[in-house]
Amino acid sequence: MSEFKPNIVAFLCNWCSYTAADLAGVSRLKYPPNIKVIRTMCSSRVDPVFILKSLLDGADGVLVGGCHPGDCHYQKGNYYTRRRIAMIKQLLKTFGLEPERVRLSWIGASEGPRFAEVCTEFTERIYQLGPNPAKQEIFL
Amino acid sequence: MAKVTELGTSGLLGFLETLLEKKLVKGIIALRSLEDKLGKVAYSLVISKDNLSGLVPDFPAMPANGGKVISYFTLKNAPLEPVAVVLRPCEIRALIELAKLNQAHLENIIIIGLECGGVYPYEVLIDQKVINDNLISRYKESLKNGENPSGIRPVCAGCENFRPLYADIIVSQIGREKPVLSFPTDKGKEIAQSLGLTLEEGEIYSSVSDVLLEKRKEEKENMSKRIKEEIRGIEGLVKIFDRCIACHCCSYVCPICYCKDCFFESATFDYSPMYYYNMLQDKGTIKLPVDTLLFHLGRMTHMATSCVACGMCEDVCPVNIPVARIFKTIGSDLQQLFDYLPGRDLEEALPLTTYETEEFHEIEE
Repeated sequence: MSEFKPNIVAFLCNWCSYTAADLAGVSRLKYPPNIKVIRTMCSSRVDPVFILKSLLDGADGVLVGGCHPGDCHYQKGNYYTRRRIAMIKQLLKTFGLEPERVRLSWIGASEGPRFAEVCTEFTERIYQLGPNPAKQEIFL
Repeated sequence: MAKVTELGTSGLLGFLETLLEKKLVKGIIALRSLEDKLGKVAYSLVISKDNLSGLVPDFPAMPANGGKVISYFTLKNAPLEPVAVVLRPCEIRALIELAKLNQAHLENIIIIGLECGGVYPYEVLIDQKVINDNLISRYKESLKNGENPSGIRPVCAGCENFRPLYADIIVSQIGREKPVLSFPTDKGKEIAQSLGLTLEEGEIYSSVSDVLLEKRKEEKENMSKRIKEEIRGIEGLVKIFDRCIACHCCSYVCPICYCKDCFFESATFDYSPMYYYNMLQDKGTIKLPVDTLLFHLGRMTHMATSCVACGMCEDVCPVNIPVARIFKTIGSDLQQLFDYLPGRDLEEALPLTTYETEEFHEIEE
């Protein structure tokens, strides 16, 4: 097998985290190229099923980025997100499926450097966890 | 201690007859035996005294979750006159969850909740052709000793919520010669008064029932331990779910899965050949239809916080996946996470439809 290169899916909310990713790019900040960004209008648009689908289809990690609590463009979307991520982490934990592969981070629109930092940290963690075992399963 | 009354020799059926006779209710929904001496039963709505005799309200079967049955009945609006419904605790809890989801209307519904010893898989009852009194008398004998009747649904054996959490009238039967009624709600008390029942101070449940409760709690612990040991990681999940034929029957009979247009049957999962081709790049081969495991895990995220562990899903599974035991395990973990118990309180919001501003900081990174 060739060298392991993590494949990370990032669901970023339009108003904060995606803008921060944009800012990181414009600011020419360096971060690992393993993140594949999917823009959603709000982090609460991310149905836990999206996360499960990513993991079962072989993503090595899933990052969900939203506005800081209290700053949601839709007032309270990210509070719902937090409950959902808590739920999915518990679900993964109950079945021994490495909840560390899912990360929730609040990244404000002006926090370009924080976005780069989160990506670097998370990629590092996924390197340590190794490839997602679901990749090898045929009977999913 | 509460105000209770013992039923006479005519039992629960006699009590239902009195309700109709005195016009306290317009109708009754309860299980009906379809053929004498057979295990076939179905929920039925009765409005005349003549049709009461076939009712078997406490027959240990669940052909459909009663919560779902009442939801069909009251989906558009509540009945104009009172209707009594005889349900098991998990059915009542499902009904409360459905009411929260605006799928049932409880006004004018009088809930008669049975203390439940568990039900047999429906298949067993149908297979037996003649329900010899043996099975039922063995069932009663086990309960008399505070033991789980053998052969009941596995989730029933590990059910610690076999006493109605919410009901207008509670029927305590375990460890009783004759059923004992109590009336926790105003609706229930009103009925007791109208019937002129003499209520005495007494325990709602017998001591035998307490013994059973302890056994059930222990069995529940063992059950979820077994399930969690069996499912360790993706390999364990695949081993259990690989035989799923994607019939989706578990979701059709689930009282909580009320969506008319299920997400998992939507066009979201209609993939193009190109999609399959891309999938195959890494694997070389893949099971069809795809996403069967995703369906189960996804369904958990959609309804496990409200799962009442009634066991309907496991009953209908044609390939014997222990669906109910798995959902009960994950359900109780998730419910604990949100400090939530489905069907406990009509006013309690569903966990994923509400939030606190300060919570779960440990998962923010």
